[in-house]
Amino acid sequence: MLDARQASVRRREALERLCANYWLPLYAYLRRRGHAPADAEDLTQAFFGHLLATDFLERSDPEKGRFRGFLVGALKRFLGTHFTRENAAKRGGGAVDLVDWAAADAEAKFMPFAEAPLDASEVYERSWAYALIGRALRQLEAEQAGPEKARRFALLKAFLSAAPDRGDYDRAARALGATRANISLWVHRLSTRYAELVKLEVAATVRDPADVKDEMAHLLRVLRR
Amino acid sequence: MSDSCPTCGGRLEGTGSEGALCLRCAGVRVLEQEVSGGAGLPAGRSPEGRRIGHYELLEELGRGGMGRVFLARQDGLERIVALKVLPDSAAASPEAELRFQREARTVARLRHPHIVAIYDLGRADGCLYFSMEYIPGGDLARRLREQPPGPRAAAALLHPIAEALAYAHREGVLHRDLKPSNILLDGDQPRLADFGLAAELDPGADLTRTAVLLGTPHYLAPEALRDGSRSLSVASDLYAFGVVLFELLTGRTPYIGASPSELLALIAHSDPPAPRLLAPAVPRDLETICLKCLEREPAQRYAGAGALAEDLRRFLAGESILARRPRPWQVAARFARRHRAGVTAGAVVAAILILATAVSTALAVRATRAERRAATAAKASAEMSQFLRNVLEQAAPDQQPDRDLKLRTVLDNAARRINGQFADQPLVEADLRDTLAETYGSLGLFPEAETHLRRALALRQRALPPDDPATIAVMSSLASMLAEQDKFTEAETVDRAAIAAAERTLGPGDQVVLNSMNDLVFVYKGEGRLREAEAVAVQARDRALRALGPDDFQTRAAMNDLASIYFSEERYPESEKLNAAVLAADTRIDGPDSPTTLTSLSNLASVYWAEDKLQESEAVNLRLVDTRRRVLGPVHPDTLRSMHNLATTYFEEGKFAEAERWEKQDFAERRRTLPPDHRDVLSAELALAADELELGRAAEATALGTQALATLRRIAGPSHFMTRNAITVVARIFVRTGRLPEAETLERDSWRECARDLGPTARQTLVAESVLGDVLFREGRPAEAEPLLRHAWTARAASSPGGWQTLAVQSQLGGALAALGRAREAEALELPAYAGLAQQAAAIPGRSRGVVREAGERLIALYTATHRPADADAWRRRLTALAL
Repeated sequence: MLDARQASVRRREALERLCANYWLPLYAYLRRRGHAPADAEDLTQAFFGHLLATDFLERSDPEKGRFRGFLVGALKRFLGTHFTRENAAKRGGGAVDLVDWAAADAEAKFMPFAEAPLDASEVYERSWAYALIGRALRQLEAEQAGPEKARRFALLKAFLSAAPDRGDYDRAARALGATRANISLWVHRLSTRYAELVKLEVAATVRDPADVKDEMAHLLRVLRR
Repeated sequence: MSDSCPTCGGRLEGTGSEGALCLRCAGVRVLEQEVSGGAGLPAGRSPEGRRIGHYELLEELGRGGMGRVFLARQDGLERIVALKVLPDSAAASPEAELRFQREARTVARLRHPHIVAIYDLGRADGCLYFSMEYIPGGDLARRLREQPPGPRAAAALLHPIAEALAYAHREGVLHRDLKPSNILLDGDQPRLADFGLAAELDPGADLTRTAVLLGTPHYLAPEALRDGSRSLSVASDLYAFGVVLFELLTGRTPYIGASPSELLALIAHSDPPAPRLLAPAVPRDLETICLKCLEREPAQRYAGAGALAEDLRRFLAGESILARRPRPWQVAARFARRHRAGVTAGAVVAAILILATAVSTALAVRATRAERRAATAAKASAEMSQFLRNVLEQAAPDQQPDRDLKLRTVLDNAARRINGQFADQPLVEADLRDTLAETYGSLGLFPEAETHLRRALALRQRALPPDDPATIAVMSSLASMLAEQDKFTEAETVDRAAIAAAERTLGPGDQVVLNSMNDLVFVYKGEGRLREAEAVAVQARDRALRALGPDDFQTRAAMNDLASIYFSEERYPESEKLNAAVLAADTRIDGPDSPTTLTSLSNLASVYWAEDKLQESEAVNLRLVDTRRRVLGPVHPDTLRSMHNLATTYFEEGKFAEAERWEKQDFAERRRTLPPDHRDVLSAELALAADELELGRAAEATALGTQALATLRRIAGPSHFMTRNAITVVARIFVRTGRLPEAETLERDSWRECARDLGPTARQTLVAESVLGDVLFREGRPAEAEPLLRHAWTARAASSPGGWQTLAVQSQLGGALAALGRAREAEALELPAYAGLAQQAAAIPGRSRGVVREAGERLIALYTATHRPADADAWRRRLTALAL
């Protein structure tokens, strides 16, 4: 059994991960709901504080089966039942900063979604999907340890999003001093690993592994829209 | 520089020189891959409610270079169709469009349960389109990705496609674009779609380029690569069918290239690997069917899709199929084609596959010979194929893309791996070593081959009863490997033992016996024991004719051996006749490029050369050098042998510069690849010496000639024909450089030795005798020269009275007589000798054409000495005219 201090540290760490991972969809949702940037920041921050204060992370909740839906539902409840702009500021002001807003560059990240003709829920869905595949991509990048692999990744990552044009692989091969077959192999390995990472990210947001595929299908629909 | 995604318009991550990535597209791609398992329709983007003609576009199903396919609803009929819309640029000209429409109408007439029906075609809103039945089950390409069928299921799946193809061909329609994505699945029922209509739009298009652009060069038949779309035929459809079947059976296409150009080269120039090694569960007959479709020569494929469908039906019904596996020589020829010094990984894989086939064939044969070992053989076969697969994996291009991998390296690795791995299965190890030895041997790596054969022999002798056929076979292989390395004494012992054992257990006419006899002929011949060689060769031929008939490979080999013995015995007309017969049979049975045919051709060239039919010889040798370079590579021993023969012919024709150019290459390569006292190195060295002498480089000629002669005396003995040839060359060098005493010693020794070993009237003895006479005459000793020249002349005149060599010696004798003051006798000999030589001048080999002038000069000397200046002047004028 963990002592209270350890449990608290663990909870704190889990929440930090949560914040880092999910602030964008929440922020985007709030922005699309009409909150000004500063307010959206505060509200997001307050929402996370609220989660920290409750047993949200430990509680087993049937709704948590799909974390994506659960999280936005919790946000909506939080906004509807507990909040006004005034006390948002008050509550948020007292809490520790869970998101480093200065570094987050939230508005820039929100901008692509702001341009699309989507409602708040759709913005939430889409930014959720972006955040998830973006995380998998950063993880993939982090795995490419060493200067050689990093350079390889920098040059080849484009092929994760688009099939090569004629001559692309040859150019990459020249740039990396490798054979074309190497390029093909590396791209294949990167794609395969990327797929695994995306799947892992998705798996982390659903309770039942059988739901992974459905969740991915949902994300695909969201991205295609 | 744009920072938005060209596909979706989204923002790109990463800029500058680095590859920029669109997160959205990356996500869509990866999720599509993961999700597509259950979805009914492939990915597509909204066609935004567009309409084409009376079709409302619902969803894009796919796109390719030849247009886009939409799910569409037909107005009025409320029918859901697949609508293929061709790109605007497709129908560049009205004629092309007409052609397309005509072809489309033909295709639209096709009605077959396994062909996707075309409903309608037309042009609307600037687009050429046609509509067809919508098949919701996806295509074979996706099925392949998701869940490859087993071999039987694959055959069952493709059988209706073969029938559909046969039907279409009967109706005069080629598919032209058969590939998995054009085989749609309606539940379990395959439907053939997308007959290559679009090809009609631009018949002049570069088929290869188009295929590469579309990412489907795998399905292009070799003849299409070679000759373009004009060569498309029923056979090219069958080839594409074979590729699809191959894919279903093995999960990959037959050829894998690191780049489009390498892929195309592989398709054009190499044979596909055997499916069974990639997927051992594939039944042998199904493999045969598949490889039959993939034959590089269209004529070698099935005669039509009907025959193919019939074989698939037979396979599925458990009946025996009609297609035959390639004959051993065909395999050998393909094998040879691959054995170049540096082959790519793909070719290595293929070679290993053939290795595996050879092994399993050997095992099958053995199993029938000894039923009781059948079960063991099956087990051994499985283990062996596992072993080979392990070896193969290191060469598989997708595992470790090592394009510089040499077959040699793979073999060495295999050899290393055998050690200790089969401790409890000596026979498996013996079979493997046998196979490795065979492969080493065909690469010309004889010491390695010998090592493995010795180990295989020891293993079998320990594990099998005495005189077992497997033991005899390896003895026979060992003997020929020893003979290849000129280890004749041991080769003879091993051969004799193999023959005796095989006669005891298999009977006198058995292949193994005949094989060993052929080897023995080669051994005797190599040792210069021609009479014994001839006796064995005649016996072997007669036995083969009786037991196997005239067309059998073994019989032809025996005839060939005998022809080569006749050649060595200088019985040229007999040799030429026999050679020509063998060549005709080889060409008819094995084809013009087959190794057997080339060997026969090479032998015939040698006979032509010996008979002084130089033009024939040159033509044949040029063809041989050309073909062998192409088929065997530039440093293969057979290629070098042809180069040497070509050089020799040029020399004989007096084209010395040409001769030297070829011989120099030949000598350099041989010295690099063979031991220094190998006879092929020596004959090249000698030939080069002769070339250098004729080109006026006496020092080089002397160095090369004396060195080769010393080695030959040591290893072949003094009267061996090669030694005798060397003496002729060196003596000529001495005479030309004024070193007459050395020439005299050389020739006198040779004359004595040849007379002792071969008899006083043997051709070699007579050559030595007359050259010695000539040297003595040049030294001013006509009295000693005269009896030698007279003997040589008389003996020659008896066998070849009008021959130019007889006449040359006759003139020399006249010269000796003149010097002895017997002018009348001299003139009586010299005048007709000159006349005869002048008449035959064109037929005299280039090296020897000087004899005509020499005969004339003797006459001038005679008339000068006898004070007949007018006659002498007349002869001078004649010689001047001759020179002009």
